[in-house]
Amino acid sequence: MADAPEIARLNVLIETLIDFASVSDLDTFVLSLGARARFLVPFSRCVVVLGDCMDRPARVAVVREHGIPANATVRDLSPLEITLATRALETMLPAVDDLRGPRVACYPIRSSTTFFGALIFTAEGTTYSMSDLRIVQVLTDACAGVLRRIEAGAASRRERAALAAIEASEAQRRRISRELHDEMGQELTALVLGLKSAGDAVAEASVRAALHRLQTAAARISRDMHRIALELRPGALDDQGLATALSNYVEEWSKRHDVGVDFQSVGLAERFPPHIETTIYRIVQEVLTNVSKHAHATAVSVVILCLPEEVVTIVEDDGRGFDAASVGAAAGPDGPIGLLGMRERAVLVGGTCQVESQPGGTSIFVRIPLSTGGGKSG
Amino acid sequence: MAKLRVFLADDHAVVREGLKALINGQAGMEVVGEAADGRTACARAREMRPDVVVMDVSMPEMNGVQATRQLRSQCPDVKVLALTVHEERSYLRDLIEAGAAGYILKRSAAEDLVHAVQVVARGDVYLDPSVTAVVLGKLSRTRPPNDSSGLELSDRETEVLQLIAQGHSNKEIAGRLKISIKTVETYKARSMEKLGLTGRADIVRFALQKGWLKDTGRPR
Repeated sequence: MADAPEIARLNVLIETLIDFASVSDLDTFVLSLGARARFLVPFSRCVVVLGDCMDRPARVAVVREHGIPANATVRDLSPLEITLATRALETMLPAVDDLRGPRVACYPIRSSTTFFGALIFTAEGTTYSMSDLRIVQVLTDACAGVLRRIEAGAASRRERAALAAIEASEAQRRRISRELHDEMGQELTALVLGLKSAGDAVAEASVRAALHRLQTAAARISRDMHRIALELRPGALDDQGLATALSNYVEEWSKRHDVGVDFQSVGLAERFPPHIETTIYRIVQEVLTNVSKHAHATAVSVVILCLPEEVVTIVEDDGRGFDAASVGAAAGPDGPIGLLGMRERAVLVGGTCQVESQPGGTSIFVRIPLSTGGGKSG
Repeated sequence: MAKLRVFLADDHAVVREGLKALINGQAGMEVVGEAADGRTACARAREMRPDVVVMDVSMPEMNGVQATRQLRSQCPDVKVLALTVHEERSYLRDLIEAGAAGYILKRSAAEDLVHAVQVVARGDVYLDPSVTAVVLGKLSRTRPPNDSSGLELSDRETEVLQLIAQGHSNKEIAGRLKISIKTVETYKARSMEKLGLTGRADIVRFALQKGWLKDTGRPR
């Protein structure tokens, strides 16, 4: 039967868990932990150690009796604390200094897959009882739950931010592309026409020739500009859909690089959400850029298959291939660095990217789920 | 001989000016009217009955494709020569379906517009050479696959080819059929050679004709 202080302590534990349920950032978490900890377990010093993870550095906070956590560094840990933390990290199990009965207890904060850090309690003039240690165990488990939630939140915020950045960049490309087409393109057309009329109107051969050269130059600029606008963002991607936009693009690319491209799509009758269409279009663009720079290919196949659950995009070339495993690490200015960006783009819409490469050809498979939840359309 | 009467529809005044100067500079043709949007172009052309309407594709109010369709249904004797910055084949298809007799890129206009107007006016079809190349390139690729070579695929070759057509990687196929990736590559190469297929897109096309890809497309 639990006595009154023990019941009071369990009440604090329950309040802590309730508190934790609404915590969504790291600072609040450390504060809330510091405020409650001294009513849960007696200590002269409690250290919160959090390992570094994706977008934040490692973090150490020291809580003393007054309960307000102070930021610290690993150097502020005592040798004993370091020893225990190391042991806990290695074994993923609680590490207790029990030379003279447990005086310092280090509990790893972890889920089944992730090690987040540790809580280290140091008692002054006393040792920890079994019930103290049970409380610490429950507390660290709760900490793991909070940290997992915080990290998942950060990850989805990052993804949303990345998607928003991509959308903003597409909107800008769309605007510039239209402006090139609608404004500069028309002016250039008028310039070419004017030079032609002027050339037709003069009799002197040398002036005619000069005007003709200018007309040719203006026509060349007009052509280049059309290509740049297409590269930025083709109107067809908005107006006519992915299959048409891609078909147009590969034709243009094929002419420009003198590499045959065979494009075939299956089941693309209806439109996908715009962010998926853009992702696939950009990935194909990226792959073809890589092919033109590195592959020394003579023929390329581009295939888009719309299956019930997913859309599969495959780009296959007959080039010299590369070592798919080493590309991520060794991507220099001349390496196919686009592979990384491509994979990231696919992941952002819930997809995957697989590369098969050997001398004689490279195939890139991008799979993007179409069902609800796959594409994070919002 | 009477001059060819040409009507200009383009929402960019600078382009209209350029076209007008070019056409009026010719002995055999003249610009009889112009409009800056598709709706006005249709209405004015209906009254004026020009020989040829040079029609910009992207215009406000009513775009060139819609305007062409309407004009052709109301005045079948008025020829439409579409003028566009779009090199892509997809736009061409829409225009031809709408009843345009010709298609010329804005960047070719300086050199070829006069000729194109003459061709369209006498009842022929004018396609911009750079667009024609695209159309022919596509046609030459849509030959039927060489299925009558007499070389039969083995069951395993058929199986591998079907899985390739369904979008699987060599690794996935190897895993599914419990054979090595090298063996998958061999089956792939051999079956492609037997059927005269040139690459993955060609394999997919072959699969479509064979009815191997029936369960593609999204359920509605």
